[in-house]
Amino acid sequence: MYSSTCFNQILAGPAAAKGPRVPLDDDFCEFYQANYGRVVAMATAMLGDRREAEDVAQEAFARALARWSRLRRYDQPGAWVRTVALRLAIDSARRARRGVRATVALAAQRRPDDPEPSDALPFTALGAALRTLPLRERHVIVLHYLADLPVAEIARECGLPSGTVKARLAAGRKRLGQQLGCQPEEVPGAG
Amino acid sequence: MRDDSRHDDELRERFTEWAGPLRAAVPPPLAVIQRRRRRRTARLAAATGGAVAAVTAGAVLLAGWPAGARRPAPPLSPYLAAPLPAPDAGPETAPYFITLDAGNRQPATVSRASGGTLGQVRPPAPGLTLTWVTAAGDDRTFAFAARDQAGQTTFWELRLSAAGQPGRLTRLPVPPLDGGQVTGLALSADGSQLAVASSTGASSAGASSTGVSGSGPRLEVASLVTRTVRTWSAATGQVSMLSWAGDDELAFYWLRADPVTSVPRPGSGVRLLDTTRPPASPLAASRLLVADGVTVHGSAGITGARITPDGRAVLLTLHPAPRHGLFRIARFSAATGRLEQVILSSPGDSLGYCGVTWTSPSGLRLLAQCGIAQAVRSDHGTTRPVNQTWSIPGSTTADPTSFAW
Repeated sequence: MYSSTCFNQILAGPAAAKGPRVPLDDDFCEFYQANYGRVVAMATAMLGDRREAEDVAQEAFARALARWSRLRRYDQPGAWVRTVALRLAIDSARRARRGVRATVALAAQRRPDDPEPSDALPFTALGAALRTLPLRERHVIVLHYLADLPVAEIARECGLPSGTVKARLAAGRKRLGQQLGCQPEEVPGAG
Repeated sequence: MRDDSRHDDELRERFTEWAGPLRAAVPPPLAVIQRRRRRRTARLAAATGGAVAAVTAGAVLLAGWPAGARRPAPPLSPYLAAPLPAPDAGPETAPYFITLDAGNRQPATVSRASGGTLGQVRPPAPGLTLTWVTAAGDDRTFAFAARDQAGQTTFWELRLSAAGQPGRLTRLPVPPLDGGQVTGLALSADGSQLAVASSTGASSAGASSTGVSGSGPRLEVASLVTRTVRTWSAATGQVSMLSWAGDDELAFYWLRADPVTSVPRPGSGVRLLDTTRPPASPLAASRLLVADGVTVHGSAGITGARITPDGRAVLLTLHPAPRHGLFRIARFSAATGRLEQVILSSPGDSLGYCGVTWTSPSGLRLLAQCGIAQAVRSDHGTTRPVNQTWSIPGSTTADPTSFAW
């Protein structure tokens, strides 16, 4: 039995009327609805682009759907989707970085009176600051601040020593603080 | 320690605030995920099928699709308004085009079948004039260059509804061009990359990554996915007639003429740029496909060029020579640079565009016209005249600055 929201979700969309219908469990639908926005937020933080982040999130949920009979038995299927989405995001960012050398970040090119692009969220101060972080620091920052994971969990999820996670977290925090102007001020000449 | 904790809390608050609208986003219908899963399953099956799949595919191609069999779903890019057509699609899959100056009318969507105007395309802001238009591969997604009175050019996207009605123009995340003249514009088939050729003046992106600056030609490829720009520039020469082959290769016409005799120098012609290679000069980063000096039954001088989306052929419009007064629209092999087929020979006229107006991804099906009186449809090498219901007025030069199909 589907909940009404999920039932409408399944009926919606042009593909619903054609092609073999894949049986869907109600719990996948609820899982999808509960976690989609969270995954998009994390992928956007990694990629700086909401459209690409949505693409990554949808791919991660498509993979989850293909394995749902197994994933549903996990304690935290959300963690599986999150991990897949972040790996896809990292791959995508690396691909882009390999082929692309930006002349100037677009954020710096915009003028105050330019019409906003439709997905302007990455252009907020925090979005812009995130883009200055190396990917490995961005990854732990996202897990810490957006997935609310403690250091030990991040270390387990990333397969890293706790000390490395702490160091990356500290470096990322420092960079973000400098970009956002919320870093505790250092005394000039000290240290 | 207290400062660190406060800093941590402050960051956490900012993240929570930043992510709020994203977390609240309404997920797309589950059907989107189901469809994606089906495509993924099909891809995996194809990959693991290996030789069996290849043999089967070959057999299906040879025998044709059995009646009632389901064709594989066409690829769907998140940057397009509609799925891409099949490689061998006919012009029926492209029922609309956009003209910027159809008979002194405003920019408009036009129906191929009736030639009628379906809707006006309005500039996005007062004082902006739409100067260039280019189409993605889905027939529904278009990009525009718009110039303001101060000479700055900005870039915009338009999506058509399934009925061909234009929506609102939205600003593309592409650096504006300050003062330069756009000499070419091409949106990739999947709508994810916009190529802009320009001359004289610099982009607001600042100094080029090749270190070459000044008034020479500049070719920029902006990724609408990563919002980054790659630049190829040179001190002299001209870049125009841009067209995409696949996602990574961009064809362009390169001309560098001798300043005294005006004769094109070696290397001029239609060239292919691998956009994944590090930026350099357009000449150094590309290879020549068809040289500028190519002739077809006396016609010579390239006035129009586009590569087919699959990258296998180059479709050229050649200017009539003085004693052979015909325009020729011809197909050349991209691999060898050799002539494969003359699609159309026409005296042309001064009232209409002369060149290929629409091509399928494989290039084996296309529409071409020369002037307002002669139009043909070519299907796998067989050419026949068509009743030209549409009108693309303009000069007989074939660089399609004023329409996109």
